[in-house]
Amino acid sequence: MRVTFTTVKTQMHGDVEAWRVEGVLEQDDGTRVPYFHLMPLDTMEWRAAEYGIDPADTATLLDIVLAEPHLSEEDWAAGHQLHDAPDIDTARADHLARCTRAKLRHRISTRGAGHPCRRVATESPLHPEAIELKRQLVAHTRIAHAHARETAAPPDRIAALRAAVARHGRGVGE
Amino acid sequence: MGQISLPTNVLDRLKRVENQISRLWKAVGLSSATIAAGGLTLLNNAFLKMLGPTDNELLYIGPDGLGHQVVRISDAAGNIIFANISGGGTSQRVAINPNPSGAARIEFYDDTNTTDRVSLSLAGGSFVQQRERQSDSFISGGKISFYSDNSVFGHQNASLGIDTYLQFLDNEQIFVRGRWGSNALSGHGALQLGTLSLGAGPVAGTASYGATMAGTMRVVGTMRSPFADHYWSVTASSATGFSVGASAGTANDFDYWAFRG
Repeated sequence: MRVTFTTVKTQMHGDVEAWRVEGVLEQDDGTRVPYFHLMPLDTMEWRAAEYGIDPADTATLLDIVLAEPHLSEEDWAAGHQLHDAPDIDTARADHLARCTRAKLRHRISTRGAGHPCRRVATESPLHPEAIELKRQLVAHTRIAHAHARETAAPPDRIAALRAAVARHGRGVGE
Repeated sequence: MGQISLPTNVLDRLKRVENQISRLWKAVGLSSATIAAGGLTLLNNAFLKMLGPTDNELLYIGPDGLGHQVVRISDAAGNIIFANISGGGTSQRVAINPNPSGAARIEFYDDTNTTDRVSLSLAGGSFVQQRERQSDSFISGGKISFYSDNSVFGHQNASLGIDTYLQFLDNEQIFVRGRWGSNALSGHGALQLGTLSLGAGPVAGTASYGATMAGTMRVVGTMRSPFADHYWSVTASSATGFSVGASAGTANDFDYWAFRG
């Protein structure tokens, strides 16, 4: 399959303003299907915050957001996920690797001169304070995931049944 | 039997000594005082204080030296078990039953808000906690209500007609007023929803969530189109978005709920 992008515009998606990247999916048998990708305007800002990517490196950020829809389940399963990686460096390396694989597999071009998607790279919001605040949000969720992993225990079904009976009989307020 | 004669002034002196001892006891706090009528008035911003055996404060009512009036009760270990403070005006304070003839209520006032407060009230067996206007107690924000046959958790602004709530009834029914919304919430949002207008098929589209969600989202959706003459499918779903395609049709709209399971 090959993904080719032709035009970029913005549109409202529900209550959110989004990029609409239009193009064509060309399947291996030559079948061509019109394709579009809607993503919130601040998607690149999220990736910069999530993976600790220099916001000035818009080429890398653009590669990521355009490749992500074409990641297979096997791509996602390979390596660590953002919220469960031991550190952000590992999460970034693994995500860049899977995005690169998808980009090559689908022959996704994002860096040619005059490429329509350059508008996404140049006009997406990349506000330093927003990136820092989003980075903190991600850090909090990563802490919560780590805590959940450390404290994970098989459910005690007898205790759950006892609690249900007690709740039903007396009310939890007693 | 012998007899000892005492001069009269010796008895007078004994009585004076007894009176002096009585006054001394009172001065060092070894006796009780009872006010049978009238009252106790402290003048000039004076305070009322009760101390424990190690001079630890147990009760204090009066100014704190910073312009606030303080009511404070502590236990023997120094833990405050009741305290209330006010700087006057609109400053931060808690008022307990400010209107004795009205419903039993507690009102919380904030330093930075001169128009609204939060109240806890109990009237007619119903308990209500809400943000409200100070002027007329009209609800102006969040509320938690426990009525005898239903409970409500919501957000309401009476003057604007806004009312969003989750209501639980005695018969185990649950009502929701409002509308569902999407928010990635740094990957922890429970729900992403919307409509993806695909247009004429064959066509494929992707909707990204913005933030990377904490886990793969599960898409529940349906395709709306004028005729049931083609097929469609969600072709991919991940932590960043999903893709859907339709084989034909003139106007394909995909309505979706993507939930985090």
